[in-house]
Amino acid sequence: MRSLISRWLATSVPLVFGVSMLTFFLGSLVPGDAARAILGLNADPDAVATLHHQLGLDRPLWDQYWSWLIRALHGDLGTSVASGSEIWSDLGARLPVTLWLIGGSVLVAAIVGVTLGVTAALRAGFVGRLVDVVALLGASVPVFWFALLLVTVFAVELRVFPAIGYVPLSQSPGQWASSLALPVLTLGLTSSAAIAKQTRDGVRTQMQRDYVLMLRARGVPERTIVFKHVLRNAGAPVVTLLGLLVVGMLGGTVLVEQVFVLPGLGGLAVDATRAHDIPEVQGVTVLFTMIIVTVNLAVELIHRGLDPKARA
Amino acid sequence: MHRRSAAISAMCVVTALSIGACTGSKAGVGDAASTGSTAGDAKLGGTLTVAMQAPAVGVNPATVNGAFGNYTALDYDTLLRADYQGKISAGLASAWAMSDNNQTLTLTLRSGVTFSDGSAVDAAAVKKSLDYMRANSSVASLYTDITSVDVVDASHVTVKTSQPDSQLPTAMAGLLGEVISPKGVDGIKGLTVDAPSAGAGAYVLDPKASLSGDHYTYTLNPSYYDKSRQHWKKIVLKVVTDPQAAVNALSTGQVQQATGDFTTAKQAAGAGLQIAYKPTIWFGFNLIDRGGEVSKPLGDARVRQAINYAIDRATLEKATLGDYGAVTDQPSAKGDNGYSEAAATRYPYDPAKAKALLAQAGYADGFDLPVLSVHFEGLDQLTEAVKAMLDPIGIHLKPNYVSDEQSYAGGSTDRKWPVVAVGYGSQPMDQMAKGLFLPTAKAFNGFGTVSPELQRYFDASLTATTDADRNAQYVKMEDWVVENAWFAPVMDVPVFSYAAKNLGGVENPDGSPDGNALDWYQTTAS
Repeated sequence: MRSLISRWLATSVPLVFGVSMLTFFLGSLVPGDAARAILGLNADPDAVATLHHQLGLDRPLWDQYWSWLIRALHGDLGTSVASGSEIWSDLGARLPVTLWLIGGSVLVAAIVGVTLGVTAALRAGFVGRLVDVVALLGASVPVFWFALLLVTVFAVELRVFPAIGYVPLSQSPGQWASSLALPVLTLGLTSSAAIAKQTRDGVRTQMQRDYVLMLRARGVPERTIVFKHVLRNAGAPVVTLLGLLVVGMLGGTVLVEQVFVLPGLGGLAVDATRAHDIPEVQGVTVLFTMIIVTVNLAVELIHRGLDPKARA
Repeated sequence: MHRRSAAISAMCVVTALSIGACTGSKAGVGDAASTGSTAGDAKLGGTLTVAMQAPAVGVNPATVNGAFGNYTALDYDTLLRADYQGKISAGLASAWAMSDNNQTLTLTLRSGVTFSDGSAVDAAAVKKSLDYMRANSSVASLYTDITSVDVVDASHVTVKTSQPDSQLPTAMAGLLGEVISPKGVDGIKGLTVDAPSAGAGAYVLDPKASLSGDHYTYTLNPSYYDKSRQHWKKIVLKVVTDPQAAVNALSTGQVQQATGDFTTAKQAAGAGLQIAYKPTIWFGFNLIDRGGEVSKPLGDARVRQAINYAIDRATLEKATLGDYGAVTDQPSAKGDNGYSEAAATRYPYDPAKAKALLAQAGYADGFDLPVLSVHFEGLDQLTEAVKAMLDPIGIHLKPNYVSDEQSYAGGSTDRKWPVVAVGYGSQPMDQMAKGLFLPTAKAFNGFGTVSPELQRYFDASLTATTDADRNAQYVKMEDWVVENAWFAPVMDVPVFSYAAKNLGGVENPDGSPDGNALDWYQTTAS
C-alpha cells in the first residue's frame, strides 16, 4: 500500500505541475487578452492598453507564471480577473455541483450498464439482441441532443423536472434531487453503453471458464454463480472503464452544465476561457487534474480489492 | 459560442433595450413616483427571475458591461432617468438645468436620500462618483469633454464641459450617472459579487444569495425613496447563455423574462410567451478605409456607392430573417432619431448602376478587396453572400475569417483591413456618432477618418436649443454618411424580449422591448 501511495504521489505531483504550466502557456497563445474581454468589443484601444498594464499582462510570461506558482504553493489561487471574486471561493461553490453530477452519473452508468450487460450476456436470442441495440444506441446518441430530448419531454412537456438550475442539498433535498435528475440521467445513460458492452463481454468470457462448470456441478445456484463469482472476476475491467468514464465525464459536464444551467466547474471553465481569465482557468484545470489523479488512485485501490493478483 | 454571440450583441442590446430615440431636455423637475412604471398600485410580487445572456463582467457601474445594464441598474440609481424615447425625468436629482451655452449642467439633488451603506447622497458624494466614472470607468472615453464637476452646496452640483453638450442630461441617465457611494469609490476593487453594493438603487445585491457567473440576487432596499419602482421582493438575474435553455426555462416558469434571437422566436411564440421585438442591429459592412490607405479604390466614394448598389438586400433579408427583420442601407433603425426617410431609398438593388460607377471611378476591370469577417452571428454567411453579389460587378472580396471576438476587435483597428463585417445596434445619434463614425469612434472608425461636414453637423446638434433643431442635424449626419457610403448596411436584425404572460411593462408603447427590469411588474394575466 505504501509503495502504491508513493508511486501515486511520484506521478501525480509532476502531473499537476505540468498541467498548470501547460494551461498557462497554451492559454497565453489564445488571441486576445482579459483586458479586451472585460472592456468589451467596442472599447477604446487606449483603455484596453491601460487595463492590460494594470492587470500585469504586459509582464513576461514566465514572470506571470512564476508569481502564480509561488502564490499557489502557498494556497492562494488569487482572484478572478473578470469578476474579481476569490478563485478558491468560486471553486468551492462549484465543486459540489460537479461532484454530485459526476457521482450520480457514474452510479446510473454502473447500475444501468451492468444490468444491461449481464442481461445481454445471459440471455441469448431477442432479449440479448435488444439489449445490444439499446446499448449501441446509448453509445451513438450525442449527449447534447439527448439532453435536449430529456428537457423537452420531462421538463417542458410533462413538467416533472425543472428545465434549468440547481438547488443545493442543504436548501431542499427534494428539489436538489429533482434539479440533478435530468443532468445525471443524460450523462449516466449515455455513458452506460460502454459499461454494458464491457460487462457483457466480460461475463460471457467468465461464463465459459472451467470454474463455472465446477460450481454448477456442485449445485451452486446460477444466481450465486453470476453475482458472487462471475461478476467479481469480470468486474475489474469494468471498474477501470468507470474510472476512464469519470475522466470523460469531466469533459461532458461542460455541455451538460450549459444545457441545464448548472453552476459547476465545467461552466466555470468555459466562461473563464472565453473571458481570458487565466487565473480562473488555472484554478479549474488544477482542480480537474487533482480529481483525475484521485480517481486513478481509487480505481487502483478497488482493483486490488477485486483482484488478489493486483496486490502483489 | 454563445459568449461570442453576447459579445457582438454587447453593443446592440444595450441600445435596443435601454434607450430609444433621444430627446434631451434643457431643464426640468419631476416627481420620481410619477416617472416610474405604469404598474399603478400593483402589489409587490415575490421573486422575479430574469435570464441573462452572459455573466456579469463587473457588478459596479465602473466595470459593468453596459450591454447588460441590469447588473447595476437595480442597485445603482441614476441622477436622471430617460424613457424609451429619451425623455428625461428626475432621478437622484430632483431637478436639472442646462446653461444657455449648453456647457454647464446644474443638478439639484433629492434631499434625505442615502446609499445602501448608510451614507448620504449629497453633492460631495456625487462629485466623487462622477469624477471617478469619467476618469476610470469603461465609459470614460465617451466623456472626455467634461472638464469639471463642482460642488455648489450640499444639494447642488454643476458639471461643466469644454464644448456645448446638450446631451449631458442623457449621460446622467446612463452608466455615468449611476452614483457610487464615497466608500464604494474608495474600495472599488472590492465591489464584486462577494460584497454588498454601494449604490442608492431600488435594490441591493445580496452576496450570500449570489454566485459569480451563475446568479445574482437583489433584495429590496428598504430606504429607497421611490417605492413605485419596487415591484418585487427579490430579483434574481440568472445567467443562461444558451438561448434554447432560456426558452425552456420560460416555458416551465423558472424565469419570467429573457432576451431572445430570431432562431428561437417561433418556439417562443409557440410556447405562448409575450414577444416584443424591434429590428435594430444593422448587419453589413463597415467600409473603414475611406481614405484609400490600404485599398486605393475604396478611397473613392463612387466605389463605396457601387458596393451599396450591388447588394440585393431584400433577398438576403428574406432568406435570413423572414418576417422579423427589415432591409436597411443606413445605420439608424426606423424610429430612432437619426433615421432618414430620404436615405432609406438611396441604394436600390441596381448592379448596372454599380458597374457604371466603378467605370467612372476608373475601376471598370474590378479589383480585389480584403475584408475582415468573423464566424459568429452569421456574419461569415453574410460575407459569402455579398461576395457572390459583388463578384459580377468586378469587386472580388477576399475575406479573412477569424473565430474569436478579440482577433476581430484587434483587426478592426490595426489599419490592415479596409472593410470589416459588422453588427452594430442602432443608437440615439449623439451616441452613435461618437461610437461609430466620428474620430472618437476608435473601435469602428479604425482609420480615424475625419469629415469636417459631419463634425459641423454634430457640433450644431450640441448647440441646438430645440429637439427639432437637434434632430434635423442628426438626420443631416445620417444622410451624409449614407450619401458618402461610409457603410454598406444590409439588414436590421431584431432584438427580442420574451416574457411570461403575467409580466407587465416589458414592451414600450411603440412595441419595442423595454429592457429595464425595474419597469417590470406582475399582472393577473394567465
